[in-house]
Amino acid sequence: MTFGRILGRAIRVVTLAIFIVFAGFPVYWMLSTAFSTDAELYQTGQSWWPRLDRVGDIPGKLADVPIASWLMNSGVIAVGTTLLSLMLAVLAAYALSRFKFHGKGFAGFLLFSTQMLPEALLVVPLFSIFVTLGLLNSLHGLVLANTAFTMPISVFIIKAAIDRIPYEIEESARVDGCPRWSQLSLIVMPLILPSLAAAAVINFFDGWNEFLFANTFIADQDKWPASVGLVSFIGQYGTPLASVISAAILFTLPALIFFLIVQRKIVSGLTAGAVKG
Amino acid sequence: MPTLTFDNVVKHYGDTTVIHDFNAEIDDNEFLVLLGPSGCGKSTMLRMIAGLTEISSGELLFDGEPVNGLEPRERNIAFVFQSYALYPHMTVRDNIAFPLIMDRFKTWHHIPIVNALMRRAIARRPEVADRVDEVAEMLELTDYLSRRPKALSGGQRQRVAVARALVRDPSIYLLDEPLSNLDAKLRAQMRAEISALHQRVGKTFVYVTHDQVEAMTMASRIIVLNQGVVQQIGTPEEIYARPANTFVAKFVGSPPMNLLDVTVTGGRVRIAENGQPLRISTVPGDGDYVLGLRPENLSVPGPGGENTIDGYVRTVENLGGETIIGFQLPPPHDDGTLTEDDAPVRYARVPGTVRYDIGTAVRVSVDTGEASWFDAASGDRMTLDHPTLIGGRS
Repeated sequence: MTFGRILGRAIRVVTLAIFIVFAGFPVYWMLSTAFSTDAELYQTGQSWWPRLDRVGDIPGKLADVPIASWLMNSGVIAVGTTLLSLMLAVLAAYALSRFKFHGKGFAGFLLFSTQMLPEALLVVPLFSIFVTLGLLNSLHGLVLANTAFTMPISVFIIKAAIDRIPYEIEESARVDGCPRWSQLSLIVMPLILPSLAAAAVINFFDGWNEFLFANTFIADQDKWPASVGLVSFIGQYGTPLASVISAAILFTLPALIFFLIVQRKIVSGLTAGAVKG
Repeated sequence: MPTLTFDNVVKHYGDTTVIHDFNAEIDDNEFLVLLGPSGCGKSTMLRMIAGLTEISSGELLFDGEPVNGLEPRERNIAFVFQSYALYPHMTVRDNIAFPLIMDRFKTWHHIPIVNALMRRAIARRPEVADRVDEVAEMLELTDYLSRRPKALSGGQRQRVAVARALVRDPSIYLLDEPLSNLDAKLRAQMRAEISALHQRVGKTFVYVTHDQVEAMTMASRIIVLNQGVVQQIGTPEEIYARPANTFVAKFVGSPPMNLLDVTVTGGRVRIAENGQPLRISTVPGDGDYVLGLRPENLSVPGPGGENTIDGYVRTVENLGGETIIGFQLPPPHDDGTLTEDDAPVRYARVPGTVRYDIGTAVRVSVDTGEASWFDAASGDRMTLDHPTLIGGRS
């Protein structure tokens, strides 16, 4: 191996290491903080190494808050948003990709326009609508609000994937006696799984991280999602940092697990071999 | 097995008419080839038979019954796409079984998730699995049943596409340039296999191609299309020997028919390009015509004497068993120079042993017994009566 190649490899390794440290250090520090005591955090300074022997203390730190219920609420919002958004997005994307109809361009623009306005700007009008529809203080109301914002993004991701499928495959299914509905579910959807998975990740995280609408529309503490619950730790006279970070780790874990499961599906090249390229 | 009748079928896309008043009848068990250049409307015709493209006006009848409004699955047809259109996420077995599974689906089976479960359940039924095995064996696909399409070669994918068409035993097979993505050797092999398949299943085949070799070798009848208009309907022999117009004459045959502008005066024929005379049996009345001569009706070197034309060799293609000599006629006042490069090249089919250098002056002998006459203005074929030898070299 020549010196030049060794140097090139060394530079690559060092550069990667720097990136890993930058990306991973906050997570590492979060772990270290969660296993520290408030006294260490505010007075003596926390340990550089996570005190894993204190893992048993975490339930005690969170004993006073309904963390399980909050996580469950976050789960309901995230899963509900993901399912509803994907269901609507697949239908809308298929229609935009495969059908010719008047106002198709305008429909696409309308979907796109929802992304032009910041969510915060719409809190007051949405609040007014929710009051009228009786959706205040309900998790399904939050699912609807989040779906309204995430569905258009999913539509564009999924439409791009459907556009790449040669239409002869669906025509072939049509000749084989497969009606439109089954063409979508039996032929098209398996072929766009990677894009469905990507859209699912975006929808799930949007629902999981939901804060703005939950903080505004949910009054009952037992209906709070974990994001709002975490903020409730911040008190007027002090914040139990170790407890907040412990809760934050619990908050992160389900999302991380979801991502690890779904990311396996985000693979490309599934349509290879369908038609002669 | 139905007879297909096209009754003034027209197809418009907006203001553009791609099929003009198509009238034809396709008999039972026929191997009909729709032949024409790219964009002539032949694939559109096939898609209209399949029900994938709507007919703008006119009627398509199966055994006298209009089918314009029927869905593809109601027409009992199978379609082999140019691109194969296999389902990439399914194995070869599932691809072949798919039409059988759809036939057995009840309405409620199409509910999402239920349909995926039922698809698997029906695929395992003996009558489906056995039929798939039978068709796979027929097309030598048994070893590949558990593979996905991406793990197959082009020829194997093509076989899967044919197997999927075959499995349901339809009345009509529609094939849209199914061999165009294969290499030359495989194409020749598949041509023979598709012909054999037609003999075996004894059903109507409608086959679209722009490749005249496929048309000539496989068809029992050919419809030649150009710009959405039927140019000629006939057997391969009729179309080759008696083309209906100059388009068919040029399109069918490789190399194409040689077309010479000629003038007939008092029974004497002269080539308009350079005034060379020709002795031809049976000529039409005085006027301008196009004379069509197949390359095999020209021989080089000519035996000399009567009915020869002079030319200069421009191309020589040695194909092994035969050689195609391309030649140009000399200019009107032959001063020994070559004709212009853009002057039309005529072709003679000669034995493979014949060798010429480019630029060599040759004497080409013309066998006018098989000559075709076309109207100079319309390009349509003219029918002449019994041949008699008139005129001569002057």
